[in-house]
Amino acid sequence: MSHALATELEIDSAMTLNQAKVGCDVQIRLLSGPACERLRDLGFCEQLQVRKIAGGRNLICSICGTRMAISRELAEQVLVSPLG
Amino acid sequence: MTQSSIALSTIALIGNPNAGKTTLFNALTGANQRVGNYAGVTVEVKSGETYTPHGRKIRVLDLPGCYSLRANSPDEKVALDALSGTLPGEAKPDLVVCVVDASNLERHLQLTLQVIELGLPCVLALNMVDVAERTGLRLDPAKLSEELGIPVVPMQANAKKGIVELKQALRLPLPVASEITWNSEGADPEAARRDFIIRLCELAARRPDAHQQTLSDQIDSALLHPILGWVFLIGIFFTVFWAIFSFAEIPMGWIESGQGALAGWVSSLMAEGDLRSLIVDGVIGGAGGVIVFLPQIVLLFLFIGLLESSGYMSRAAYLMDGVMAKAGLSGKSFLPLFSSYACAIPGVMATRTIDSAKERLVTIFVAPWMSCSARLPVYFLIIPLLLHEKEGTWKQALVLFGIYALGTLTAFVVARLLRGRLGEDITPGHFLLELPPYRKPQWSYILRHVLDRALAFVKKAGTVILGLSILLWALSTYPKKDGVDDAEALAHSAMGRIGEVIEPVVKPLGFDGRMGTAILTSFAAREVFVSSMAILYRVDESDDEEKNRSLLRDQLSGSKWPDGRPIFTPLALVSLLVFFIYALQCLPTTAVVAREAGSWKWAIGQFVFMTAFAWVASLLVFQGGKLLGF
Amino acid sequence: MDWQTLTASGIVAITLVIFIYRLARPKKKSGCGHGCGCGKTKDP
Repeated sequence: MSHALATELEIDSAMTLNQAKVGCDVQIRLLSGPACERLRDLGFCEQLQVRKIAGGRNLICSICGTRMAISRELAEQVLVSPLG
Repeated sequence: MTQSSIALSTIALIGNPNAGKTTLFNALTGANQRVGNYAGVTVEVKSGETYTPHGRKIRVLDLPGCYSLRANSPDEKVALDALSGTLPGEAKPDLVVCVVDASNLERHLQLTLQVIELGLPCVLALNMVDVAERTGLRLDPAKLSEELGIPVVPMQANAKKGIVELKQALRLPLPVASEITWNSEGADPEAARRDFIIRLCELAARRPDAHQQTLSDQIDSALLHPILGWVFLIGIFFTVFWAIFSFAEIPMGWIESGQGALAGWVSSLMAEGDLRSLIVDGVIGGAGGVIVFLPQIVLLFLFIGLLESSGYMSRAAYLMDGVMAKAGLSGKSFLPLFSSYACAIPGVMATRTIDSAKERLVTIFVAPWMSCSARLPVYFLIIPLLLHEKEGTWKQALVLFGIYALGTLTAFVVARLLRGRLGEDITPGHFLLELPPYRKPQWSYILRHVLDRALAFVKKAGTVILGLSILLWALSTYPKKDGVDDAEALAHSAMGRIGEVIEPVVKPLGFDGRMGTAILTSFAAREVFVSSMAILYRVDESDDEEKNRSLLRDQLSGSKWPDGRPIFTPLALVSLLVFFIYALQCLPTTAVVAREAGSWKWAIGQFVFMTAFAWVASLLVFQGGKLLGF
Repeated sequence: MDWQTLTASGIVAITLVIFIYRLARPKKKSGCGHGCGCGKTKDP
């Protein structure tokens, strides 16, 4: 039970990719939303690291060495936490 | 087993867009296909043949690039169908070559695992190893092969490295389908694949710092800058238009004088008569008058090819997404619409990458309003008349830019209205785009493509337009009436009669009967408008025929209505331009629209709507202009 | 009718026949059909 609680707390303190600061590296914790599968197909998987290059209407991220542009709505479904 | 008793094997190439699949296909089959550095350019299934080192023939299918087999877009559905054997006319392939970008295994292996899960024999083509090595990635193909259970061939398709090794992997007996080692208990397949890939990459594709700022990033900080990026975008595209206009002038001059010389020579060979007139006025004047625009066409396709190949196109699509949204579209519609500036047919076909069915239909509907290259002969005929050439090319470029802007803006407005009427999508799509690294343009592909288009243009001129010019010449020469002056003879001919009938319909637009006739003929092919004008207006000069044959423009600017007013006033010219911007005058486009939209109703509706729109727009411009005193 | 008119009329007639023939025969051309040169082929 405590493990589950700890995980929940961790997720609660995570932020969406939209909220992440531009220029910083984050790690994907969870994908939640209707477009998860699409995101995963494109490489936005849990435990992978992402660098946010630009924000706004469409974000630009660097993931596994590739630059991808995704919309706000999609970024909203990616929960991340900053790398220590 | 003799070779002749072995049936022809079929292998399918699959992979993410930008993994170099098509480059590999070309290297294997020797075909010349178009490669775009922008996701989704290759949308068809191409097939070709190749030979193994043992001389055995193999059939190769190039499937559309896709991210997964989930069938989210028409591309992915076609790929899935092909692999399942449900594509009409195609059985299951005997083997699948999964082409992956070695620098992107975390993302590209998803597809490979899905293919293995389908139970098909696979070979992994680990492409672009040169780039991977440069970025410091440590690859271990043997480990990859061991973990995946399939042969892995490192390669660099664009340098033809690794091709022979790949063919070795295709020798008989073909590898068998691998076992699925990553998902045994029937747990969530997505998660199982993911975990497997992450573990595998840690073992066999170690990555140092994944987010180093590359040269591409530095360039992007300028080109994708919220303000500066737009300055560059507008600057680049305006420069392209200007360059087309000015660079093409010299070769156009050559072609024109060549035409004049040829006409003069032919005239000196025979006495005045119908055949001479047919050759000089009909053939040289008519078809030749279209060939003169070849330099512009070449330059246009050259620039589009450069922009695509260098990787800039994705950036343009990214920037344009916000603007596209105002039209109810997305950045994905940018490439189809931009391609339509060259020719609406590949543009309409490129809409297959658009996920949203409704957005796709709207994009197809408005694509013809991106003034295509076939309109260029008409524009380049009219614009100098409007401005009087001595005013310099930058003003002409400005007018041309204005023409494109008008067509584009109207398209956006109509797209928005239409999109609103069609309603929401069942599953909303999202903007998603890969920004490939900048790279030096691949000149061999670009030049090959430009050559293709140039030859196609010349072929069209040599066949369809030549034929139409001959027929038009006949219509304006026969029936004859002897003993009358040129103007009356023309009025008496078939063309003249049609012109009389048409005139009331086009007069409110500022056109006379002959222009109306020329417009009618251009519904067959827009370039024919120039040919028709050359034929219809040849009788307007009173001078020696040979001198005035040189420039059609001089002939046109001297033309007058029966009451002596000049026909080609600036207002009439603008009205004519507006008509050509909006009218849909291309039967091949209508046919492709019917196929891509899935119904002839859309295609016919589009045609009727655009023709009516063009007529009304011209009317408003001309009558409105007159009211305002122009 | 002089020889020029005769020849010219002949050429026109042949052209007309070619056009009608191309319109009438069932289109076995794939994709876009005519010479726009986009190089796309029909899917199999």
